Amino acid sequence: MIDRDPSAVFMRHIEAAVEIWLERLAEPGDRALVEADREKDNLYQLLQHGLHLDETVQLTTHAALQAFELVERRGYWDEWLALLERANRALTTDDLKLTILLLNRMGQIKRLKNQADESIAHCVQALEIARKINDPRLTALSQYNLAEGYLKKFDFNRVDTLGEEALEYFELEGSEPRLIASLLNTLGESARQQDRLERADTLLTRAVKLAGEHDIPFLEARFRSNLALTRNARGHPNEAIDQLERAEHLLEGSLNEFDRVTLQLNKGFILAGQDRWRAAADAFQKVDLAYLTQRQNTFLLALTNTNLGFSLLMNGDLQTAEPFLQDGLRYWETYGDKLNLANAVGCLGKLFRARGESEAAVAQFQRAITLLEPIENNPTADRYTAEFKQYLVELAS
Amino acid sequence: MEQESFETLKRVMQQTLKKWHSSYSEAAEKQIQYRIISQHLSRYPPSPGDLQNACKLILQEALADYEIQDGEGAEVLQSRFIKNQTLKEVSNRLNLSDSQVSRKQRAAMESLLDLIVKKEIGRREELIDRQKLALPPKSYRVLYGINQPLRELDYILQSQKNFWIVAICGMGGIGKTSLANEHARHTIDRMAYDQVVWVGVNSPRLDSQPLEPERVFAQILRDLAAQLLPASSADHPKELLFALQKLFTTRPYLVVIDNLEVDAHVAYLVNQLTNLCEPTKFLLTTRTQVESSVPVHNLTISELSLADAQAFMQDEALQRNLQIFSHVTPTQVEEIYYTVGGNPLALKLFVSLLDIMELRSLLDSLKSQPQGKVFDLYRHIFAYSWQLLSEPAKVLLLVMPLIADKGGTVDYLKKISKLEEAAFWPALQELRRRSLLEVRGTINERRYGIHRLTATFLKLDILKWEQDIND
Repeated sequence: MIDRDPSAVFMRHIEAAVEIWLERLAEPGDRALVEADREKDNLYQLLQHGLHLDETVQLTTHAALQAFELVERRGYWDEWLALLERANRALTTDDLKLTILLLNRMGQIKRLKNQADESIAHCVQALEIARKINDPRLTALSQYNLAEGYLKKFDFNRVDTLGEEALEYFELEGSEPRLIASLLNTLGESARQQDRLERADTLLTRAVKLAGEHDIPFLEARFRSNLALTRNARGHPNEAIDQLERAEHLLEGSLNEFDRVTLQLNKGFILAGQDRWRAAADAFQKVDLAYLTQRQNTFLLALTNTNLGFSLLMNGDLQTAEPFLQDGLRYWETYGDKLNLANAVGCLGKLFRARGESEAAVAQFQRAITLLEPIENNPTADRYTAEFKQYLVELAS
Repeated sequence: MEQESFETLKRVMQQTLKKWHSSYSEAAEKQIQYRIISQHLSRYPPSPGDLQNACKLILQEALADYEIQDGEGAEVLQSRFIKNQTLKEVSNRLNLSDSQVSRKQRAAMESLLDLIVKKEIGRREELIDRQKLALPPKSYRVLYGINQPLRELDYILQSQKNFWIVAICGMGGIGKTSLANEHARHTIDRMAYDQVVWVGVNSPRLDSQPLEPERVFAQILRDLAAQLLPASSADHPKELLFALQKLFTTRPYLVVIDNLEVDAHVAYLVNQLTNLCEPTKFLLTTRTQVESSVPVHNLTISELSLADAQAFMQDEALQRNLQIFSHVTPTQVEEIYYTVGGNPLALKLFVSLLDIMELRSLLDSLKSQPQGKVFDLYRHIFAYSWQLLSEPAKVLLLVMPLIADKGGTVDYLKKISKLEEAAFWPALQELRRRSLLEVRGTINERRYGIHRLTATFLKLDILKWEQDIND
């Protein structure tokens, strides 16, 4: 009789619903993800209730983790972070393996949100537990995520040590091509950022090949986008653009808004580096601002608007450029990055200067210099200050 | 539709045809009320040239259609007005006398204009159907106690020029959404606006912190753009706001924003909506009155009057085939009313209990509840409803807290409840009969959900949670 224990019936419902979702989310391919995405409100509702009850936390956590590909690709970071944090609080000490997986995913989301320190803290915790319980796979998984966190902090020694150890484990096991490819990408990015371009090219090419062989198009696109930056740095801009176009093709019609955004930004940067300002503006214009706004990604909104405005300015579109530069400036103010804010203010100064509005230009350059004053020992800040001061001298004469 | 208005349409069309090669102008306001004309306009206010071009397009289409039924008549009109031929030239070519051509011309003109009026009527019917289909399905069969608030809404929205935002306020279950839905349907029938658009705001969910007002507003803009500007490439909230502002400040729309539950959302929204008003109007449904520096008319929905409550209960009983209700005396009806109150949801649940429970004991039990706590009284009524449900219906109802506001599909509910086909449908019907389940979704995709109050009762009273995590 249900009235004797309605909670037991409700818990069975949660279990049944979780089973439905585990099955649904295990289906590969974009079509299954689109279908899951359409019903995601019901998934949220289920997870929220499942995580509320001690008896269903463990099972529900599996569904929350299983949904990670949907979350990562659609950018539902904030919503899921709240769920994973709740799951982490509710899980008992018996669930250490699940805790490690949770901490890794939390670290991954924090990293995507540019919160490197918090990401590292989660992954360090995961690694400690994995080592304590002597689980080599989870140790390697945590090392990989930790390496990604350190990459955000430009701590390349740690990235390389952790990444290589993890890669060695997964290559020996040979069973997880997705992780092997991701690790090759991490190490490749580390090499690229250290100007070890040949090594970066080799590693990223391997990552691309592996993702292609195992038919993981969104990862292949992601790795091609990084390979493009390497090829560009090696002085092959045309090859770089070719890689980006192939990546663009791979992402067509997929759910990966975030990857598409990154790709267009990379394309814009490469084209701008070649002084192809109109083409760069076109690439920045293709960045899905609605998606970034919906996901409240202030950093990328700021970056896109500023770069779009600047490309338009350099292309001579002096009227069109202003609203984007103004928006970029406002987003940097919200994001709280003084260096980039000063750069955006300076760009606005350059625009006014180009339009012959000297008084407005002077005000912007002065504001930019004031913003840069407290930033010490930073070569970029020094470069901006010198550049803006030079403009002030020119305008005074 | 008003006879006089179609006469204007006929006159405009006739004059446009007759003055095909010269300019003809009639007041724009008189012309753009016709949907066949306005559908050809790409900007507002239109220039006289825009209007003339739109009318010419309609005439050409109508002439092509008319040609099928009367080729010669269509040729006479084409030759005389579009090819600018004289009566003599046409009569010579068709081998008819001048007077025969004149008669043919008059008859053809008459028929052509009738055809255009038919097209206008058809266009209106199509628009009415399309707009009504886009509204949420009615959750009611007949509405009681609605005439007064409907009249008031009509008056405020049609006559009060200084109120562009109207808020229907009242507690859960009182019928705010139903009133807005009914008003929207009446308004669509009257074609008082270019279009009536409905946007539902999702209840707060997931991480217990409600969404920021900016995100709620951005979502509303996106929903509106999806309905009104499907071909637009604008997607940034600022771009959307700009595009919608252009639309809403040039043409009259009625935008219904339903289910605003968070005061901070309402306050933010109202301030933003001022940029989108006039001639467009906004109708909001919200639990609390809107307090804002912006002029907003609050229309508070009261509980049903005794007479309306009586009629409402009788209708509910009739629908449920509850013969026993016909034996309830007027004094007992009064007693029910003064015990339960006039909240339609509570009355519905109460009536549905009478097929099994004795009126006397039910009333006595409710009266023993502490006075003044309406919510507790409803919980009590709900507890009775729960007790009367069959096992499969209880099993199915316990699935519903796991279902989001948009509702769950039959397949999803079946899989979770694990009820066999033979038990599932009767359980679903039973919940519908007891007013515990609501039909949502569209005609093409039926979904089912429960009222927020029902979900709260389930969690607090059946599952014994300390609080509803959705609140």
